[in-house]
Amino acid sequence: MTDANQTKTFEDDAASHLDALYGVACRLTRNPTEAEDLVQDSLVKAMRAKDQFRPGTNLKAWLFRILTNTFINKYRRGGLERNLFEGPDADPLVDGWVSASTMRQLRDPEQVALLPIVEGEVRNALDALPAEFRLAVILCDVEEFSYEEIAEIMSCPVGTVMSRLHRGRKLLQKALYEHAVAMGIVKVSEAPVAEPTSLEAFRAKKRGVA
Amino acid sequence: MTEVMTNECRKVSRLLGPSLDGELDAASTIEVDEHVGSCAVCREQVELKRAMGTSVRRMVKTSASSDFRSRALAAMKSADLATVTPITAARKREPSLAWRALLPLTAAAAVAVAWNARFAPKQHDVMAEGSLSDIIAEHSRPLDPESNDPKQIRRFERYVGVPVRPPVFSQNAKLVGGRVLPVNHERAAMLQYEIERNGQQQRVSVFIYDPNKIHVEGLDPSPRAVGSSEVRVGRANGYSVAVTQREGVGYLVASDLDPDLSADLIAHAQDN
Repeated sequence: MTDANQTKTFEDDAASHLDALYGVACRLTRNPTEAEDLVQDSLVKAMRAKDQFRPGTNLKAWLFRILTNTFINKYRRGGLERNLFEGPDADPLVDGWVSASTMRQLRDPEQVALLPIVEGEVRNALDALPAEFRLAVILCDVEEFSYEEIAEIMSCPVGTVMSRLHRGRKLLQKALYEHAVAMGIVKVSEAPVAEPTSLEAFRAKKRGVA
Repeated sequence: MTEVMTNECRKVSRLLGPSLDGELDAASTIEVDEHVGSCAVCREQVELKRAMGTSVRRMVKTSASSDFRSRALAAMKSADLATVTPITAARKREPSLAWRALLPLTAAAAVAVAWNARFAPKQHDVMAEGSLSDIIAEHSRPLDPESNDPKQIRRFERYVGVPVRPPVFSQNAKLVGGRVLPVNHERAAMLQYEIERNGQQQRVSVFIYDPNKIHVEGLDPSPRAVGSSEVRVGRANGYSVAVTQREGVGYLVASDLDPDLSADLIAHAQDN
């Protein structure tokens, strides 16, 4: 295969992920114009660094890694960094508990009805997540990367990916649940009060200290 | 079947996500499945997680516009060219022989037009070669315009950094369309026109850019006064170029017209 063909293949392969990159970039930047810039910058970087890509490895994951790094660098340079990938795990994590009776209203076939109603709010809930939680959730739920791939993309251990996913999903669940309650779609749960999952609380409990 | 949350539920709760993601080992998966099978509370959690996943997926999945797609593809192509002539400082000092061989213009180029990032070291001989080919290539083998609507074209300002007002020429000229082009790390708008001259259609490309960011080098050192404008012209590889500035905006015309005509064209254009 000639160099030209190889380049063509790489370019085509990379371009085939443009929609996926753009969708994630929209949620990362929360701005379609910035998302376009981010994706274009990332693809240009990918082209320049294509020699560093090892054929046979996961091109999509490699592109998302470039996108993630470009996003971080861009926002850091722009002084816009706010809690970006190192923000406080702000909101105390409570269990987004939904009672059995509430859930009955959210179930299939009602689940189908839930989606259009709540979906408009998903954007707000997702955008409100700390960036590292948001990215982990999107990479997993939308792009269906494995934990290992997400760890590679986000340059962190798999354990951190799991934690970010768990916490991100909990926050999302909580935000959307509250919305559903506010809209009168579901009743306020009579479920047990959620408990904070702070390390101190966990250790205290383990030591038998109330 | 339990309908209240138990300690077992709390334990399983952390494993539900990885279980749905297919990331649990076989033993844990069986454990979770067994619990979920007998626990209404956790089964509901599973259903809620699935519904949330579907909602997130539907919301995030989107398609890039065709305009953006062609812009991104053009940027990728341009970046690919740049990898042939790497623009890192070190490589600039040692121009690749292969690149020189690609462009047998080195000695012959009496006029070299260079698109240089403003702060890039002025390695004229190297940058000029690569950039000349880029400009000529853009004019001689233009990519399809992104838009032929002047209103849309004016919106390129956000990419180019200066107002993009399609010039109106005194001669009988038709705007074919425009697109945004990456130029090194900057961007320019490229507008394509068809000008009728002596009963023939001539193609003319107008590049609009921020002269503070993009520098055109290698033109005739003496600027000409054409009308009230200062124009610099050059000729290379069978094409002529004319460059001027108006209200802080750079305009470059590339065509196969005579350089005097190109100068006249750009000097007497009205910005629409």
